[in-house]
Amino acid sequence: MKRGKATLALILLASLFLLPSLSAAGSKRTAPLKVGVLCPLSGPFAPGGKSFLRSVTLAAEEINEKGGVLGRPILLVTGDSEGKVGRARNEALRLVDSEGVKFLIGAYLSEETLGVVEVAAERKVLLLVPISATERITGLVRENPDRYSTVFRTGFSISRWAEMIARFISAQGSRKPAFLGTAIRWNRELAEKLEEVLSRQGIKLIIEDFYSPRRPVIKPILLRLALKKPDLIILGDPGKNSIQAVREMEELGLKTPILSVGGTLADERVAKDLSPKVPLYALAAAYRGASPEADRYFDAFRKKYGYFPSGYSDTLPGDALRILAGALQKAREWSPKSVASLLEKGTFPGVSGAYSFDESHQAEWGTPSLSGVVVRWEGSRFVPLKPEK
Amino acid sequence: MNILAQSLAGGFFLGISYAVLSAGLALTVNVVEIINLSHGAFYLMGAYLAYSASSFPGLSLLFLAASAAGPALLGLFIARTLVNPLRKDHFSIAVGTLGLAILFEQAADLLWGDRALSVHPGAPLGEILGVKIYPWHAGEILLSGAVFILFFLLPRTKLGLAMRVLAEDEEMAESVGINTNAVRATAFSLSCALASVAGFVSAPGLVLTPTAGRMPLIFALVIVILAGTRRLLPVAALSLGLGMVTFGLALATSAYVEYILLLTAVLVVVSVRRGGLFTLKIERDY
Repeated sequence: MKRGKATLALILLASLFLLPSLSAAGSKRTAPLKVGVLCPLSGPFAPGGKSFLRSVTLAAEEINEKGGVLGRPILLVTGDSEGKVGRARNEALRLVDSEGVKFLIGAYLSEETLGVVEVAAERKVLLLVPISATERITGLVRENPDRYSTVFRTGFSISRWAEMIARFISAQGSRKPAFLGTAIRWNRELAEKLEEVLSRQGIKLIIEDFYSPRRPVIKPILLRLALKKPDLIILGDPGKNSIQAVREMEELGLKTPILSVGGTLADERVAKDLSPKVPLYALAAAYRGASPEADRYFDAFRKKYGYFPSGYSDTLPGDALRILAGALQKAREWSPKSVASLLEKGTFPGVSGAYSFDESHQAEWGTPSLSGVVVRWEGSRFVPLKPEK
Repeated sequence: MNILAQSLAGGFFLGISYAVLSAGLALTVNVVEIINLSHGAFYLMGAYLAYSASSFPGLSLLFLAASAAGPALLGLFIARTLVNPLRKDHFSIAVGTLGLAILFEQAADLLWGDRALSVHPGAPLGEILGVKIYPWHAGEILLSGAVFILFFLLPRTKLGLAMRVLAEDEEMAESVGINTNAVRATAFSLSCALASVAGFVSAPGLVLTPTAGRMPLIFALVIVILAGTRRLLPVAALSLGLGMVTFGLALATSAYVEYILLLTAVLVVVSVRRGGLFTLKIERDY
């Protein structure tokens, strides 16, 4: 009896020593994988930032439902960049240094992202850029591949955007396209690049004009534009003022088809309110009806948030997380460097298509596997145009 | 396309939307002697009500009445609880009305969301020299006419007279038995209602987001600073002139150069004539 009690005591004692180490091993296996998400959650760009976060959240839930990444659930750690460069950089540093994040997705504005790129280069964490389009990001990778080896852009670059728009212009047989945008750096760069791409096709933009993003007086510009009689208007403003531009075009009786770069006008709720009478096209990374993956994502998004996404800033950030999860599954380790070298070589599926990267770490948009999509407003919903042969 | 007619019409409608908004703000500055930084938020409140009204086409007039009555009552409440007690402390009243504006923006975010909304203008009523006239254009003309009639008749009423006396000399108003707090509250309430109705009528020409009231407020302030607050005619004339000049400058130069030129002009005028362009004599406190 005494011996039995002694054995039991010994077992209990041993288990006291063993338990912590066992639980530690278990927690290491199932400890969440922290992924930093940087976007403006307050300030003037908060609506875009919230869409960004919704997209990543949905992707994280999807991945976690399937068992996470190598058994580890994804835990999103957010940083509010507020649309400011300094704030974005400080938040990136906080996520990396205090939260121990090794993988970042963001930021939103090009200026913000350029600050975060430096943090990624200094701390050697992996940065996936889904929205910011400035050429400077991939330019840095091209100029100094060692320093920026862990920076990848999964979204459109300005060049790719311009190429896709030029392809649409060609497909529509337009010979007199005009560009109307908002006076922000991104729109000016896009107009410049589009002009360059079109000139290679022998097409000239007949007018390039910009309105103030804060106080848009658009009608006078539209009057100038009407005098030139364009056959297609490229509306470069991705924000709310694009609504006013379309409305005022109708007031002036302009019947010219419009291609919006996406964003606000690709939101079906906005288009329904607007009910445009002119042909309205919008560019998106993915759209309902374009592929079964897009259909699944759009339905899941609507189920969770109550509306269909617009297929860009509410879609690409989630794809960045899917690419990261795919690369980590292949790498079978948690080192940003290993994941980066896998991203350079492999192809990774997302809602918008299969992502692969060029030497500047730019996702290969405009290829058959990652084409982007042009949608057309059909009165009650957007319908994707059939891809060109 | 008739460019001249389109430009004149564009400038005219831009101008009258400024005029109605500025008239209400001028009333507050003149009688209550405060700058109400939540004036733009009341404008936006009316515009959001117009958006909600678009889901109930048969009840538009009811919503229009609500866009006047609701902000009027709210204005009365704010005047009694915030404006009257704090109005002599310029810093507190500025912070207080700014806080109200932010509160309204947050409320709009909760009620209507942060995405951009637009109100469909409906079918045009007709065309004049190639310019399409929509119901909201007619609404703006009617509203500005109503504001003119109101400001013409008001000084001929007991309330209007009390406002005038109060605007001239507060001590004198009190000495002749005018309830100055009640008069101020009524003026503030009327100004809030005017801003909201202006927003309701102009809604189809706006893009609605919770912060969309800020820019109209800046413009109303510019007009009130330049035109002075004592008379409606300079406010209306300047609003129309500004609408035309803005449109013309944007047509001739570019839409963002026009904004810079406009703000520069304001700075120059304010530095040269402290009381505004249309004040006959600069009033001095000493």
